[in-house]
Amino acid sequence: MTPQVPTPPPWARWLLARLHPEDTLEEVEGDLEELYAYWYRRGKRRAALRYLLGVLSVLPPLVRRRKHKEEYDRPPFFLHPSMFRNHFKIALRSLWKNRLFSAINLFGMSVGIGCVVVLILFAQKCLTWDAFHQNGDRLYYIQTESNGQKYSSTVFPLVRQLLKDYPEIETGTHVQSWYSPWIHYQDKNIQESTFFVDSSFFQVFSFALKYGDPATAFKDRNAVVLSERVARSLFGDLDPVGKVVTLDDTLQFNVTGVLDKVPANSSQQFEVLMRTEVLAHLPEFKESADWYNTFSNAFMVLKEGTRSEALEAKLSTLVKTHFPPESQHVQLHLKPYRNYIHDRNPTFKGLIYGAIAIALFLLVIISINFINLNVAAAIPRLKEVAVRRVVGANKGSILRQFWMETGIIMLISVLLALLCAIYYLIPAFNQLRDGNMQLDISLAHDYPTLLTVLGVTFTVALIAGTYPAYYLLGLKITEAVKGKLSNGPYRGRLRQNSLIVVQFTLAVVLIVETIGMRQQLQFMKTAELGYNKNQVLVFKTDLAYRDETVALSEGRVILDELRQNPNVVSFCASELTPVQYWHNFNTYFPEGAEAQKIRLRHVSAPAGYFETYRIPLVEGRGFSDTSADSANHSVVINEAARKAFGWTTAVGKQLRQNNDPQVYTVIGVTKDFHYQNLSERVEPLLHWYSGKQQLSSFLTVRLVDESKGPTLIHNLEARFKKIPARRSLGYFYLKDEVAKAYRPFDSIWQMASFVTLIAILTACAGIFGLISMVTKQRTKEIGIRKVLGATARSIAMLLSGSFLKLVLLALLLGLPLSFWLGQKLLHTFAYRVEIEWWYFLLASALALGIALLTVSFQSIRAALMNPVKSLRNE
Amino acid sequence: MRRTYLGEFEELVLLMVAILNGEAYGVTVTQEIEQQTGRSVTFGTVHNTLIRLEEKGFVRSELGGATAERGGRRKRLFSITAYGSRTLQEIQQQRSQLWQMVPPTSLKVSGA
Repeated sequence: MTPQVPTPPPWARWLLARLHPEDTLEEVEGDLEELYAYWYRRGKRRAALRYLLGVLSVLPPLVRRRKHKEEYDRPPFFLHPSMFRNHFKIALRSLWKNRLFSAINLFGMSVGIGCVVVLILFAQKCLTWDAFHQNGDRLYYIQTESNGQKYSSTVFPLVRQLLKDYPEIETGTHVQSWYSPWIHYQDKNIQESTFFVDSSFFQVFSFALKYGDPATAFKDRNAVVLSERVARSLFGDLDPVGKVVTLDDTLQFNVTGVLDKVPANSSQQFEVLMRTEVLAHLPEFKESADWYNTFSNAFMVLKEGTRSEALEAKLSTLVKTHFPPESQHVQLHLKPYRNYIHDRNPTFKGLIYGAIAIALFLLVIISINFINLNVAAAIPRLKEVAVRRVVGANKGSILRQFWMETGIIMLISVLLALLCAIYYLIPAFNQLRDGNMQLDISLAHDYPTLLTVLGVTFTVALIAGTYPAYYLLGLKITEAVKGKLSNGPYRGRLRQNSLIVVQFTLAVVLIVETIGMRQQLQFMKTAELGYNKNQVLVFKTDLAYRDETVALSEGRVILDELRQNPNVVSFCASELTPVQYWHNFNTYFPEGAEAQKIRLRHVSAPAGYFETYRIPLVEGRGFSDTSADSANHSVVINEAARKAFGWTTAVGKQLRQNNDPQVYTVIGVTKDFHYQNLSERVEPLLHWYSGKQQLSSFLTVRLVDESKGPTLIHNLEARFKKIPARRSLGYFYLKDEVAKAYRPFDSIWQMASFVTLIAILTACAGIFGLISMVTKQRTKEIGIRKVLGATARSIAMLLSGSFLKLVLLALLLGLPLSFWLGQKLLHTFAYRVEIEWWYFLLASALALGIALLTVSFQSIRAALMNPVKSLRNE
Repeated sequence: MRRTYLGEFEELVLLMVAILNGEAYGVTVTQEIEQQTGRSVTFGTVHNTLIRLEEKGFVRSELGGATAERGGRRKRLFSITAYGSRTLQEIQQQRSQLWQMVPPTSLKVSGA
């Protein structure tokens, strides 16, 4: 060759280098260059042209690609379908091979994740409570502070005055409850919880309307907006806007809107909305709606850029100018509406954090378990992994193999978890919540939650897959191929052991708390309430009579008949029953000693009340229709009240209320009976005389025998049917109603038991996985021991022993912890059981017993194995 | 008849590989075809055909050592495999058998 080698056009070479397949580039480049030199001798231009033609003919798609033999020297791309298929197949095979593990894993994960989903969903709903209002950051409510007590309500005329006096308030509305009128449309008659609001309601709150226009819905005074449910029950599926309904058989109202479903996490829940002006014509309302009575809820939207503190400071002048002299001490606060729920219900935050804590705790427990089980299941695959490495799998490939397996388990468990959550857990949860905020799950709203859960679970899968893979990769390959664990079988033992200890500690703590709560519940349900709840039948006689006077005279006849009834021991017609006393307080002081004032809960009671409920009196007497009780304004207090006044005897003492010249005379003192559930202390209480016996809200009958109940119910139902009314007679046995008060505790207990069960199950699954692994690793050792004369029993003991030691350690840690926690828990109840030693004994026995059962199943099987079998194969 | 499908061009390239006897690579095959048949072929056709022949098992290839020529790039040298040579021989044999069956008169232009 001549030293002066002709070079082809550089851009054509560049084209070739860029686009020609890499593996044949070298030879093609060389060939073409040589050919160029050959063509060059016959003319430069011609050579360039032919060179270009040659280049083009070897560019894709014209060029044929060489099939690589080298393919097998290099690990294929991990997303290559065949690799993926291989991983998938191996994953399925190994999952199937360890069916038991897989099932335990699947079950534990899906129930656990299901619970986590529900809890997170719940927490999320609570965290975003009232957060859906468009003006949310400018939305405030008025709080009244009086003598250190804070109320989320205020006086009625305030809203109008505020809107008039303070231009920095954009708009505002009342949300006023007063009474619930009967709504009548054609043949349908309903009464639903009704709120009275101002025309600006939909400018303040962002509740969506299904039908109707929020801008004009409350334009007219006789407008009524219904909830979806009420609209359906009155009008079916039709659009009711423009329809006319009759209120209390007298007023004609136009339906102007139907609310969309109000979010469950809204503090305001409505069925019927009307304008506050409707109340204006009610004399009783006019009387109450002054600047003194604090019963009205007021909500304000401030103008953009207004500082609420500055505005709040100005409110004191409003108190000075408008509030009556006796409420000059009152302070008004402007509170952000987003804190409304927290201000009203201080335990709400605890509920959220509790849910999150339980969710995290569950997640930790199931993750620990998943990792443990995976490591355990991976150990026997030592050889498989070693062989894979010998034939060229790299770290990534092994990792992906394990990720594939954990991923499959996770995917299936997430799906199962969602099914379990939607079809079992959420309905169960809603039932437990019993009318409180109901959960629902919808992909449209809750995808952040679901994505979070999905993300977290897949992170767990990743970790759970990485762990065993790294463990197996860290072993010496030459020994691993032979199935030897060169690093010793007990590498990572500390980790596994600590996991077991943690799991069992948690399980023990939960068992103790669950027992404690059960005992407390049992105690509360069976405790002496201070009155006799048995053989008492209560009729709900507040039936919305069409004619009160007719009802009252009919009622007198019924009461007279009851007096004759031999099955009736005693009865009374009262406004209240001891299980549902009003939250109604006032300040009382002994006549002439104004300094000794105390806050009393006060309720009404008729004659025969204490006799019927068998509330014992420690001094004096109960009310009677024959004496001068009404003239004397007689009252009966309880022991707590007597003590609060510092009296040894109370009968004959005189009491007065703030701002009221009326003097009340104490005629009796009851024992401290539990009119609230036992988580709350018996507070000072006062009954006033409700007047001569007549039909009222409740008719309480004490029977000679509970078996006489059905006949009486039957009789009274027939009697009451004759009185024209909108409702029919309802009734309950007092003891059932008492039990109802404990339903929230029951549901908490049920939830706690459920969590405990899961904790125990996962702990068992974990320990089961580990003992299986250990017995497998020690198969030869066991064989040799047997050959040398060890008994099956001693071997079983040997294998179980180390695990039981761990459980004992867990008990050692868990029992003091559970004692401390149990103390804290039980101290939230005013009347409580004490933690007893047998709780710990039972919890320990349960934990040990379950652990023993789980462990011995595997260890006995290993111990009984024929040594010939275990020693034969090398 | 055994079915060994070999296209016309493939047969030509295979023959060239046989002729070049160990010296066959992209350049020599291209040049040989041009010189012996007068056909002008693009390099890509030859390149692709060689790859296809290798896939079918008629030739094998290996990368030759680096030389100072062509910028030190290696050549891919092709040689005929046993299967390739047997196939060529079979074709040859078949052809000559067929040639013998042609009546001498039939190839003469009539009327001449």
